[in-house]
Amino acid sequence: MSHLLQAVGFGLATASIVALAAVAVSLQVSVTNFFNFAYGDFMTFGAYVAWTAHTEGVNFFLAVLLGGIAVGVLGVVANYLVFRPFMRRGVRPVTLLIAGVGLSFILQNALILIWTPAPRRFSLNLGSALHLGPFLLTPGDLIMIGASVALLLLLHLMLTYTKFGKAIRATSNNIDLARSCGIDSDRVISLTWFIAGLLTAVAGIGLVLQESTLSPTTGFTELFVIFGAVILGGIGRPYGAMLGALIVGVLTEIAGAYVDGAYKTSIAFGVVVVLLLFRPQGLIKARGLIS
Amino acid sequence: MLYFLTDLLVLGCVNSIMVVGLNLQYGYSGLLNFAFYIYVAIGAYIAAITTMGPSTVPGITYALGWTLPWWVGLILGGIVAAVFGALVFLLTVRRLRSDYLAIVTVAVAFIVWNLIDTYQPLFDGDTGLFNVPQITGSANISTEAYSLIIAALSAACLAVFVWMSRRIFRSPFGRLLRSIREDEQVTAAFGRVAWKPQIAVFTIGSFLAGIAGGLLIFYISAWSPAAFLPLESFILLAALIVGGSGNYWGSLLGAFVLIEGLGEISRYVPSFGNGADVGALRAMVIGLVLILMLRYRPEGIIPERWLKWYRTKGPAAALAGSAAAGSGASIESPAPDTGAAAADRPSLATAEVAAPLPAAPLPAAPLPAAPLPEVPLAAPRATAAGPPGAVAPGADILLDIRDVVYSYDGARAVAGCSFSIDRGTVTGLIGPNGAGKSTLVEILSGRLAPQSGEVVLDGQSVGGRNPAGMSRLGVARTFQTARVLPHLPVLENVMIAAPAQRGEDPLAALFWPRAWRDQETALRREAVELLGWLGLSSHLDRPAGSLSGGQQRLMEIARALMAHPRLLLMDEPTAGVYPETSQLIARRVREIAATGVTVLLIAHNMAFLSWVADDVVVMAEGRVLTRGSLEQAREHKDVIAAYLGVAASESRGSQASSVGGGE
Repeated sequence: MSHLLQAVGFGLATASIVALAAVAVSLQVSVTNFFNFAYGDFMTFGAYVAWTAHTEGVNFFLAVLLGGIAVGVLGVVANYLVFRPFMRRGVRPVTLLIAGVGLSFILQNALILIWTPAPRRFSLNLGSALHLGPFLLTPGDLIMIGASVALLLLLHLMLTYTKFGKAIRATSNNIDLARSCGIDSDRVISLTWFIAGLLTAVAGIGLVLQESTLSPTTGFTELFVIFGAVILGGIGRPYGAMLGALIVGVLTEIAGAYVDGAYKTSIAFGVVVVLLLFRPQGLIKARGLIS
Repeated sequence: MLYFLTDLLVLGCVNSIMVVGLNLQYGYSGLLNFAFYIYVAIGAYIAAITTMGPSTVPGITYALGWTLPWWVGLILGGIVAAVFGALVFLLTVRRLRSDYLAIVTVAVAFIVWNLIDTYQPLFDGDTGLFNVPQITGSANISTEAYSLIIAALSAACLAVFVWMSRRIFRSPFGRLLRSIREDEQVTAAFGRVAWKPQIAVFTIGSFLAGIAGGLLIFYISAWSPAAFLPLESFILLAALIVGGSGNYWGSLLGAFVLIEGLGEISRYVPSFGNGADVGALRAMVIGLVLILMLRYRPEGIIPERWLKWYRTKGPAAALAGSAAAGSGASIESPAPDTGAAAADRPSLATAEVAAPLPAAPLPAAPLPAAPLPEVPLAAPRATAAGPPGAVAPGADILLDIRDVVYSYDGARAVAGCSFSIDRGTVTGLIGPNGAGKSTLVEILSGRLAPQSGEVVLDGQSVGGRNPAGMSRLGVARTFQTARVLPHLPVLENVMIAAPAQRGEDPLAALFWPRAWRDQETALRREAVELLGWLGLSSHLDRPAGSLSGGQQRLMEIARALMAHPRLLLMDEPTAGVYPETSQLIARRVREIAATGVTVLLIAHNMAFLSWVADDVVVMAEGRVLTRGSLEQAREHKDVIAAYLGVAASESRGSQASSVGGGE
């Protein structure tokens, strides 16, 4: 039993990372109705920026902020240069997904050119793991969980109470109607990309700190776990994405504890696929899904 | 030098087989498979372990020791990959939008890869395969000769697969796949269930992947699980899109130019930086080319429509001679139907099209008076009625709607609606915006299920059937905003609606064209005649997306008639259409009804209604307000009130009216 609870504890740490990225993906999908295939590389880029800043002696939290801003800007630029021209032409979501593949090729290999393919070590020495009730968590895990909860709460407050947040929700509900009500949807979309980039970067840094290493494919290998969480939660539903991330994260770690660490991602994928068999629209009914 | 060329040829052919397979899945039917390479790997593994002898090296456990002949292993690899593809499709693809399914295919592929890579007893884990026997057995031949043999074998396989692609493309099966790719709901409205043809083509594509994997492993004789990088699948996809998805020649071009060409060029880029930089640069170029192609030439270097068959033998050409009959007036130039057309169809009184119809009720004389001996409308299915035009009103009820209710999340769109329609009549369905007309049509076409009440078609209760089911019962429709399959030629758009096409069976399409060729010719002729009858003869080969709004509506009518319906539902057939075209549509609708087809149409154009409708049903707030001739309806005070939004309902007692809008 304590074994299980410990796994749940690890799962919470993993889930908090996945949740940040999944909410970012879901928020962007809810506004633009397509998956950005390059999110994994966004995560990696954010981690590299933070790592570079940190090794240059910048304070860790400042380094995280720098990484977040860098990825936010990258998101806005990627939207302007790559995605927006397609969206204006009204292409199918599949085309945008494939365009994202092209962007991922470019980004991932640009990372190789800039930082070389050699893995880098990136970890914080924060002391040994702590027993908190039944859980065994490192201070890093705790910070990650705290940061994730804080950021998601902040996002929730922003979406609910601020004018920008309402504009985002209006745009995601019906972009044409939002436009005709005087909402500058281009600006809303840009802002969404920025926020999504910010969250993605934090998730990427969390991922790297958990694994202690960083390479140009770090984020990409995690991409489908995140997409799995998004689809499971209900596409375009940020709150569903949190739920999906929780399920995927905890399942992954429980599977890792009981079966074999090597299969943990497979088991999480397997569960996602099986759940989708019974509920193809996701846990919270997705938008834009043909069934 | 020779080795360089044969090596290039082998890899080019094997990559081409993969891209051709991917083209069947994505290009033909829009199924995006991001994990295509896993099927290649499966083929490679199966081909290897079934042909290798018992393990002689300690620690290697994968060899089954069957030592099957190489060609058996090759085919087995293809079959296992195909079966796996079918399973994955059934598990995941069936119900997801194609971009989501792409993501799920990756998840499934990851599980397989993880298993192969990690579970030692199965395939020796990450050690991978090596010492796979050559297909020449123990014969001692040079590397060049061996690569030449494999090159010949691969080229032969590729030729067979291109031939198969070509067959599928030209068959009704291929047409069905294309139309599902363009708009699944249109094909559903004409009775097609999308997943059946899709699983067939997904399986065939996976088979090709498996064969390519087998060829590759017989050539390179070793395989590492690390080689299943998802990257490979994406490069294949990029090659497909650059070459031209949907066009099998484009697949070959993409495979040779993007994969081989770029690979060869990058060999000559001087090495710089660390070792990985040239490869990284190459991948960046592929990514950039992919984005630029999607943006500026999404149809690829060789678009689908360039296939020679599309231009010459394709849709229209087979009828070069007989189609003369259809060379009637096009819509833009409403010149009289002269010559052949007029001779063919005396019912289309010459010059009538050009002369504007009077705004007042259409004089009945020219239309029903003339018998319609040669209207190219096949008799509707299972008509119990007498000869065309001889149906007496009230004689025979085709459609009976009883107390039908439908609410959208609490908003009651149809609230207990009841009326019936006689066979062979034209009924107009009118009412202010929000009256529930379109919802009712959606229910009748099977897209929505009535929440209560009953729909009876020809004595049979049909409420709650899906669109395909309604279509099979003889219900055809046009859409509120014309829905065409934009990239397909007009003729194909119409032909997809014909019921019971034998060539839609994948096996018949591939291996037994004789079973469907005659039917296909007959269908093509029928479609050409229908299109000619609707004034679209000169547009048979044009992509339907390039037609004007009015032409698209005419094409939709042809498509609906191609299904030989008993009941034709038309949702605003004249919305956004030139008056001349409206007149043509009115004339045609009368003629359609005269053959015994029952028509229910929503319209706001009163002149149009006065020309076509035998009577009208007026709906407001989800119920039938009144029913009768258009004149009666016009004078009915509830109708006036409903349209003008006056507090109307005192007389009916129930809802306080706030019906806005109207025409």
